[in-house]
Amino acid sequence: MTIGIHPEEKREATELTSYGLCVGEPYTEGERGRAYLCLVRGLLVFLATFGTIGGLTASFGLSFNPVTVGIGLLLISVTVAFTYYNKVTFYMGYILMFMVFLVLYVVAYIQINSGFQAFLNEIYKAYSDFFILPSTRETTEYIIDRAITVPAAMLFTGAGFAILLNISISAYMDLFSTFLLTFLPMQLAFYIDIIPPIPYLVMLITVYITVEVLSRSGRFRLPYRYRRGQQYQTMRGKRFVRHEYLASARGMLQMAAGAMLISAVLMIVLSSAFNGRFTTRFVSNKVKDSTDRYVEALAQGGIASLFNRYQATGGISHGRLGGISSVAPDYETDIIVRTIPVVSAEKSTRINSIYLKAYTGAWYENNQFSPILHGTGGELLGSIPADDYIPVGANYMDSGKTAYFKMWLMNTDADNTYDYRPYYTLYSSSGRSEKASGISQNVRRYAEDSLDALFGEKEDRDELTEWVNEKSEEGDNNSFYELIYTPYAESAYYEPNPTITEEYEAYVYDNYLGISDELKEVVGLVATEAGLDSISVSPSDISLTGISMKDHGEYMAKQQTRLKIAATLKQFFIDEYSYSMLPGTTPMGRDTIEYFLTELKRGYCVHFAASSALILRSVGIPTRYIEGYVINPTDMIEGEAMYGESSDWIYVYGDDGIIASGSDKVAVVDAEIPDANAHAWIEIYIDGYGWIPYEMTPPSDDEDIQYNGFADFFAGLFSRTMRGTDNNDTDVTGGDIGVSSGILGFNNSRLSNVLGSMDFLLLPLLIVTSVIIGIIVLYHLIRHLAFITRIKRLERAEDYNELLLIRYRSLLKTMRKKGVIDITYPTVSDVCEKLSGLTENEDRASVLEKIISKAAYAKGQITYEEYMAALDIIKCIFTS
Amino acid sequence: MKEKLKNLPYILVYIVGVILLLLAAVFYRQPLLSVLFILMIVMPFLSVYTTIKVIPRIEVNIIPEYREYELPCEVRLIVTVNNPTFLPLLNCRLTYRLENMYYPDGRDRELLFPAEAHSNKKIYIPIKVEMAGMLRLKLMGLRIWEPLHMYTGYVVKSDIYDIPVMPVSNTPKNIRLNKSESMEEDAVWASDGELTMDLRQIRDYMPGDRLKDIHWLIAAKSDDLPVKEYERAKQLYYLLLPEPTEGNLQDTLSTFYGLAGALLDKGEIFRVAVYRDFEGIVDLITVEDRDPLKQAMYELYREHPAEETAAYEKYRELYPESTGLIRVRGREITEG
Repeated sequence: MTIGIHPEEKREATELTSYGLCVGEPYTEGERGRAYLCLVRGLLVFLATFGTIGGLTASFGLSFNPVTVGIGLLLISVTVAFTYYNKVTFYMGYILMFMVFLVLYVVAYIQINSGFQAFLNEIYKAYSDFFILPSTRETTEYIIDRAITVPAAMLFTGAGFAILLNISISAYMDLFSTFLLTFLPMQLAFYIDIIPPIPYLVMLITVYITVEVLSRSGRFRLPYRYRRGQQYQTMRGKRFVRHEYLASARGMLQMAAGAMLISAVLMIVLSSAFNGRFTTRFVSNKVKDSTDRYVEALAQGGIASLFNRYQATGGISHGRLGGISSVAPDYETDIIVRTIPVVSAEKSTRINSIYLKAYTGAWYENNQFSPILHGTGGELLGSIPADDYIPVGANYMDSGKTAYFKMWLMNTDADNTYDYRPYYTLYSSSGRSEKASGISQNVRRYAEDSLDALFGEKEDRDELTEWVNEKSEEGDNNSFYELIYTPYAESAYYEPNPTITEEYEAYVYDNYLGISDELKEVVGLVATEAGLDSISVSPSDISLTGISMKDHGEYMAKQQTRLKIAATLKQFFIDEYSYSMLPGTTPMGRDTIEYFLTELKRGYCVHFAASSALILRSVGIPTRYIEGYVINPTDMIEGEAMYGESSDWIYVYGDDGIIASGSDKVAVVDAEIPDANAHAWIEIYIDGYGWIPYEMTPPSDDEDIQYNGFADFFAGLFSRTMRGTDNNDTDVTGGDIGVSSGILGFNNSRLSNVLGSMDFLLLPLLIVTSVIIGIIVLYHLIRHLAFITRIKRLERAEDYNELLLIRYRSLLKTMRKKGVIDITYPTVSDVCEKLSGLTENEDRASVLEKIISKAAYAKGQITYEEYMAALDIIKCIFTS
Repeated sequence: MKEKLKNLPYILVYIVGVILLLLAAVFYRQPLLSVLFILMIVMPFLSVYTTIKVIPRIEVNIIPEYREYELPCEVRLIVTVNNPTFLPLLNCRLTYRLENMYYPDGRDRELLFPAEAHSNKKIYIPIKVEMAGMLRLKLMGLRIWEPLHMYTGYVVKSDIYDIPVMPVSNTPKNIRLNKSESMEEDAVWASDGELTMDLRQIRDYMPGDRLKDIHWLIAAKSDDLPVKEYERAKQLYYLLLPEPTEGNLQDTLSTFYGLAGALLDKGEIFRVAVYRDFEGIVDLITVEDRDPLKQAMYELYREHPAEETAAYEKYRELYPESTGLIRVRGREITEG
């Protein structure tokens, strides 16, 4: 009865019974044990640790004694590596290390901390210089003597690194984690064009090569849990039995030595090839720029600055400004509209943008433009303030003619809280409450009175429903509605709005001039800097503003001044600020508008619109912040066009009555509006006329790249726009591109950009390849010369035995290569037997056998004639 | 092809690494990234090139330790690895097959080991053996991966080594056996009463000569009475016929080996009839000492066990008049 028999014993018994034999575990006598292995692993951990810590410290100009620190880190690394010696050291080792770590930290807290502070101060300084930051962070060093504090911090940090690297190297031999653990800290230097001293880089590259090769070979494994003396791991399958050697300490050491040699040669060769070719300061692409923002924010505001941020996708942001670091639209369609393109009043061939208004911001506080009116006790008034007066009777194409357009709108993915209304919407069929749909009661009444007779009976519900169903993936869940609007356009001509009351104007002045106390000063200063206070418009200058109003005169000139001030502010933004979709975050505790106006000075529509609203309020202009979507001319052009009955879509009338009949055909366009079209702008109140939309966002710089899809994203990455005006790096960016473009004939093409982006790698690659090929050629040349020299020497010494044996070895090598002979240790007879089959005359093979045997085994020398005879036979064999 | 496919994941991972490094180098244009990218471009070519150059110089062989094996025993194989070059090839795989020819295993055995640079090492493979027979060691080939695992070099190995393992000696006790009287068709009785085949001379009759030695053909034609005198005067041999079958293989071998040993110990010379099932013949091997006995054992080991009475029947078919045959079947020793 066998109870508790070990599986291995059972297997052995089975094999012995079945096959009569059982192969045991292979072994090598005198093999060095796992102590040697731990030592070699410790060496690798040391190279990685010292390469990182030493390289970083040296990069930032902090002086330390490399020998002392190196020995300290070597001891730490080796000690840490020995945790994998056996189970006891593994489980106890980490506890002991933690204890030592703790004790060291308590005992040398001040020294270590001061060392860290010294390091941080140098980093802050370097980053401040690199990014030209307005302020430099500084920390307090309790102990000034860096000769003590820096090595203390290095050893302490090094111990932590060694523990982590020991896991990635000793346990897993994993390049990826080793790379991350060493490369990311080194980024502190590399990111700002600081290249650490070459020896430290050689150490790191040595580790990378060794770890990669060892992980691919698998000859590094000897976990602590394996029993002592075990050299092989045995695996059994149905068709195989495999014994795999666990760890070759000697091989690891040899590989590390070889890797170090390669790294050193590589760095020596490349240091000259790369000399002066790396200046990341002037490299700009989407990835780099984005990283730059984060790094800059980190350098300036510390880690906290990274946390009060979020990345906005497209769509409206409900007036929220704070913490947005970048906008990354997903380019999904949010709204589909069907309408006729609105052409410019000045130039009928130019299609105007249509602004779809959704969100109205009234009061700004805590980084948000809320719809809540200041002083109303927090009463939420919906998407817009109570009575949203708009100008009516805006003319179309020419003064004296007013046009009414129809729009069908389907909300596919936009925020469903709002209706999206083009300027100036008079009627909406959305069925929402008046406040929610954004159409005030008196505006609706005005519209109904004027337009019901024209459009009321022309609604084609069936067609609308069919259209929506075709476009909608979600069917009934999407909202769709019909709108009647009179298009707004710059250079338009407006009439006074008869529905505006004195009470409403008083309400506007009460609520749309408010600025929180914290921002008054900053906003005022910017208004002064922009020169807004001194602007005035005389009645004769009214055309300057681009918008004409009836009742010209001093009163209207005052109103026109508002538009002139807004135009001046916009120009100020264009001159002093820049547009960016990746402005970076606002540091914690700072107000977004204040930070934007004073320091950041770059942003996107939300920044400009929100700031403008407050600045204009500060100079006495009632202004409000608006969010919505803009339908660009390109959206209209790219949309699906069809013919429609003009009476269904447009109605124009003038002083002399209706001028558009229902029999004409007009072009109707289905435009798909993506989330990237979400936009923010302002509305300026003009006394007696109402709210006029005003675009405050400056156009994006020419250098900025428009990304319209995944493919373009990569194209954008490869494009090499330059940052800064002090371009002193023409070698990298200008000249070489010119060469490649010229040769390939891809001027300004995407391909030339891609190729041009890699030009800085091509020359070094060429140099390294040439050096390696040169070394190989030289090696073979030297070997060949040595061979010839040896032959000559033997010929002079008349040592025909050795000469013939050299030829014989060559012959043997060739036969092996050709597969003629496959015996591991063939005798002369074996060789000659094979040769007899190759030669025409079998006797020649036997002659050769005799001569070679004589040369190999006889006491005396073979004669010259014998040598020549054998040589002739060998040559004959070679040629055959 | 299958071996090359094993490299594919390594190559793909490497390519992904190169692409990522290229992107990082292009986007960030940092020296370390660029150096690593160039390194990754250059390394595979360098590694494959040096490996191709080095592989022919690597000498790997596997041989059995030279000694006599008798159950119970442990056979030891010695793998010699000689890498005279500077390149530590950590991934070498030697494929071989080791099996007792009586009990074929059919499994390939693989030994993965490093060929460290400038090293000449020996790896020992212990084999516990519990069944007698011929252990056949057949080398199948040596594969060497270059350090990055992108190229596999193959060295053909087709050497074969046979390792005979003698059975446990099962010596019979208190057994009386007769020698064989006739074994071959033309064997005749010599003058001293022993079987032989070689005629030395024909001489005149002398008193004491056996009647069967008289050359009757000549005597019939003449008045003389010539007698055949033979060259060598030999004793009668014991003739052993081991009859191993699937069921009694090890017992037959043990009993035969023990009986043979006992005969040799007594100074007897005997013959062994080895039945070759495939060819359908019976070979006779004369055993004077231990070496021919081993030879006889080797011959037995090379034959697969036959049907239960096949050997005997074949022997009888070939030598119908022979007498004094000693049959060894399992633990039984019988005369037939």
